[in-house]
Amino acid sequence: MRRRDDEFAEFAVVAARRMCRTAYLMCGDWHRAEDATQDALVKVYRRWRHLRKDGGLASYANRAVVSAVLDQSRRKWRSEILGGLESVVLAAPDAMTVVDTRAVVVQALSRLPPGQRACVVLRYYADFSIEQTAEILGTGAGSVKSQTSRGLAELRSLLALPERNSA
Amino acid sequence: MNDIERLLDAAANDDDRSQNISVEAILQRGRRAVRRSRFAVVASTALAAIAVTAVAPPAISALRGPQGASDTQVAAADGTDTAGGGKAVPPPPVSLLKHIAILMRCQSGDKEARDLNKRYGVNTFDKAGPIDAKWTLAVKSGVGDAFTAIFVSPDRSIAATCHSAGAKGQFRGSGVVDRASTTYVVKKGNPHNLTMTQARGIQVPKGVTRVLVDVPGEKLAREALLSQSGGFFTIGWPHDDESKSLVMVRIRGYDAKGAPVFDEKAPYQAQRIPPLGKR
Repeated sequence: MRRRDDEFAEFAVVAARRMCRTAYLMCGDWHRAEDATQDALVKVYRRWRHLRKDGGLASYANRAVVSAVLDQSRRKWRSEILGGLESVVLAAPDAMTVVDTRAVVVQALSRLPPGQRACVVLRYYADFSIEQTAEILGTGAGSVKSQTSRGLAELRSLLALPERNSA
Repeated sequence: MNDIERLLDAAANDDDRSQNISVEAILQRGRRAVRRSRFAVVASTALAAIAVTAVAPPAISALRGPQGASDTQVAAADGTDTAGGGKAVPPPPVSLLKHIAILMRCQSGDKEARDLNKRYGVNTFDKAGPIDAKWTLAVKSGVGDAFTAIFVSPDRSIAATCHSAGAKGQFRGSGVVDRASTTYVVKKGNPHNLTMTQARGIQVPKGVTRVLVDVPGEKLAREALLSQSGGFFTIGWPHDDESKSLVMVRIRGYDAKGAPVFDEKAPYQAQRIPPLGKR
């Protein structure tokens, strides 16, 4: 038990920050991101032995954090987060400070449908492959490709970025 | 890294804020979640076993091992055959842990046991409330920080057995608690009705001064550690917090003259039958 806890703690210390950042891009609020990360890590703890034995730890952890964010977004205070960002004026990123960049990008992400947002974040921030993203989201590779493509196009439009063939 | 990746990376940059994620808090929540799921497994196992044996009412904690005693326990015999029942392995040692130390380690487990009863709507006769300093510590056995203890409510209606494998165990020293009625009759008999605590193998009727427990596969019976009053007893502390298979043991009680006055079978969980060499 102690060994299991030590191994898990070692994993959690390293993974928590990255998971929290992914959750933040998904939901736009650090407190919710931290809650989602903790919820996800508790799920990982419960399945620790199987995950250590059978593999798929990173995939499961990311699936858990994405699920936690999506679960949160179904709760009543979802609108508080997105509503709070409505007043931010979108601007071209090259003229922005770090804080501006964060607010603008997060606001733009928040305007994407959840599926597109998850695909963009997992592909372009978490650096998962199409297959891995499909596994995390429980969908097909074709769906990931199309949602990523649409999400990227929408994001570029919102951020006034030039189109690229980056999907 | 393309422009989108750079923007996402910048947006997720949290170098200017401290992270409020506590791994210790996650570990605590995780342990609780694992523990709850184990309780649920034990509960369903208990209900199934009760249904098969038909000796107890629906009771969540029915099959969780030895309990029972009152006030101060005594080692009833020394392994000789001068008393009724013949030779036996000596009783387990009395725990050196203080009453208050054991109580503190059993309170969260007691809350879980009561919550479980409430959730499943069983043991509705249990009105004794949480274990606290007013409860009598009837018997305690163990070595180091591992123990089995039996608390008896002030009105003596409920006996709460608390087991812990100590800090090395899965629950890190937090006790697992079973609560049972000392008066609820689960099987009528002659000369004794079988109460819930007797059916669970933690208590013997009045007049019993020696308790022997026959564990399958062992040549000699085990002498139980018996309380001075109330007839509560234990054969030792758990060597593991992990739930293992059930073992049907035979419990024999003898009076001061060596005459047999009690003979019943009860289910013990294997992890609560300490290996003889480690007692």
